[in-house]
Amino acid sequence: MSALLELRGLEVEIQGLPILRGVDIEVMPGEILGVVGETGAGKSMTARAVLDLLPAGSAVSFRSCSFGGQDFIPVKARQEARGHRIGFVPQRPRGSLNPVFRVGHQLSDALRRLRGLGRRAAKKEALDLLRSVRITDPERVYRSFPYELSGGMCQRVCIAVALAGEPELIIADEPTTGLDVTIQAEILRLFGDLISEHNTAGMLITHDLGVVADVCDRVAVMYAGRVVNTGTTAEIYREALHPYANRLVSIAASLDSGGAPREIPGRVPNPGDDLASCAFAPRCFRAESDCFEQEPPLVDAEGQLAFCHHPLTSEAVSR
Amino acid sequence: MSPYVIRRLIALIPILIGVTLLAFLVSRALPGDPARLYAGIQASDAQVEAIRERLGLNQPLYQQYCVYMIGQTCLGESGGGGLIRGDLGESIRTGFSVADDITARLPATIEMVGAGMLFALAAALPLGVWAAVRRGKLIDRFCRFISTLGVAVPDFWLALILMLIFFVFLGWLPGPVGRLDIKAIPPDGPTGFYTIDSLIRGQWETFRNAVSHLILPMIAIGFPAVAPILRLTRNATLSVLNSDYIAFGRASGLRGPPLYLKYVLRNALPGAVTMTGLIVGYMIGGAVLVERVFSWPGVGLYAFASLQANDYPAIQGFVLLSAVTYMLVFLVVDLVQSVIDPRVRLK
Ligand SMILES: Nc1ncnc2c1ncn2[C@@H]1O[C@H](COP(=O)(O)OP(=O)(O)O)[C@@H](O)[C@H]1O
Ligand SMILES: [Mg+2]
Repeated sequence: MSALLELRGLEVEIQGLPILRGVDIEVMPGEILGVVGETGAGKSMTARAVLDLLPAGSAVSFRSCSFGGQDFIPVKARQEARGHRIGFVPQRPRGSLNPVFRVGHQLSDALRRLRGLGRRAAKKEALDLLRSVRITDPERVYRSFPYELSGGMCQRVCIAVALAGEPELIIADEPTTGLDVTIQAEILRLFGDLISEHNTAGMLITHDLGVVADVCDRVAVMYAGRVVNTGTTAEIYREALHPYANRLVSIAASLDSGGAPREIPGRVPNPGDDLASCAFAPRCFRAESDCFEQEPPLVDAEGQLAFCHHPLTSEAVSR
Repeated sequence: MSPYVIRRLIALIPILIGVTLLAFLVSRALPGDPARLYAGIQASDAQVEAIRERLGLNQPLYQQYCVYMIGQTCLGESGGGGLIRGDLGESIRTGFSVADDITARLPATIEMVGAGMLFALAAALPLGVWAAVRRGKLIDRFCRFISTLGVAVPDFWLALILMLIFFVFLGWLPGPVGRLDIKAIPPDGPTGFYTIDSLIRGQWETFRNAVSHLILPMIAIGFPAVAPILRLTRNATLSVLNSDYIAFGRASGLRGPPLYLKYVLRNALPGAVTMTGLIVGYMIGGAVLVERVFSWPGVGLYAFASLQANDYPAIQGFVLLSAVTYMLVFLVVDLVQSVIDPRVRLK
């Protein structure tokens, strides 16, 4: 099966500083890929590069990039995909809806823009969409302004907007940060359900590995502007190849079982810092001198891929 | 009318009373003697004194003010008059009721100021958004140039330059003869705005005539307003463009004119609306000089002539009109704000 979104060697510089240093990501049709990593790893920039929404002063390059078989390197292709082929669910739902228009108006505007519906049809479809994101009183929400709605309700509306263009992929960038804990689980479940109901694929960006376990089929772990480990969620949780991913998982697991919060010693490098050949080496409990001197090889084991000299499995074979 | 509007209008009354007192004192402080100006150069002192008596100018100031405010009641006589009955007094210069004088001239001024404001908004809002979107590019620098120019150029001076270019040198537009060619007959219409009345009556020739006379005064009074509105719109747009809701809008396929002129501009508008209100208030003053340059027969020209004649009631009437306009404009601004942004609560 060929990938829906296939991204190879994505590099982004902002004002001369390297932000992404060769990101490889693929999303298969129908699956939900979790993208995890500490804040600053470059998760949001990866998503924004796919939609050509990088901040001013950014330089982007891909080794290759395709979406549903179409070459996605031309800027125009990526811009035209916004809303139509790729839906986006934002991080701060309340601030992401335009404060001066009723949310129903914004949603039906999206339907008219993305699906070419007439005014009447758009309103009807908007109400249906609000119902499909499990809003029980769509008429009232339709007439509301964003400031009259809770964060969770706003996020449902944003998800409805993301669905409006019947996209093939929905990218959600930390869709639950800032929401009440009880609402977080609901929104995540909704996201997972909608992806399968609407026959789309999903990319769920989060810094919370606990979130991933519930809804994602596969996981990509990012560190300092690169994907260091990918694999099925089950494999990553069982035994992640990359020491960084491995640590993230064990920290999340100990938090889940009520353990004290732990951290990986050291700090995340900032863009522009001098990096060792393996950016994680200075913080890594398995690091040896080769980690600082040679680019880590791509290793392939048990359905996982990782860039590491010393992966956490004996059978790992270097490719 | 909503209770909010009624409350706001009631709150205006004490302010307006203060304004009348100020206008009354300031007009008395002007150099010159209206009675002598009225009587003419050859009049004898006795004649001037008689006129002063007739105009009530020999009474003590407090009594004059009292009469101005509540009419003959003040002197213990029955009879009407006074501001409380809507009587602004009689113009010393024209002999007509000041209220009638002003009413007759108001449409000319409103037409000019309204056109000037529309011109300013039509130029400043899109340019402001455009300059912000293309920040640092050519259009942004052009707008900065326009802004600097707008601050540096006084409106009456601009009026003279425009006239020099478009009337004297190019001959494209008519000279300073008022609202229509001298031979032309004004349209008789319901609004008093010649452009609108001639359209209603279907008088195309008159319409063209009125428009050609309106263009230069419109630019002269409107241009100085472009700079502040443009700058405000540009800066507001810059911060709106950085907002989460515009980022999400873009990510959901919004772009081009619908993005900028609907979703961005609507959020950048509040500052520009307040500024517009300020400027409309200020334009009433600006109209005095611009109307003078173009012989535009509006209240500004009336105020100018009244000042020269020390016509106390007329001057007071004009000041009062300016104050009322200013305050009503601000009421309208607040109402418009609440329409633009639902989060604005009127209380
Ligand atoms: N507008 C910007 N200008 C310059 N650098 C930025 C900007 N936004 C983000 N960055 C940098 O890019 C890096 C990656 O950011 P981001 O993709 O947002 O991280 P994540 O989403 O994984 O937390 C961070 O180090 C951040 O400092
Ligand atoms: Mg982020």
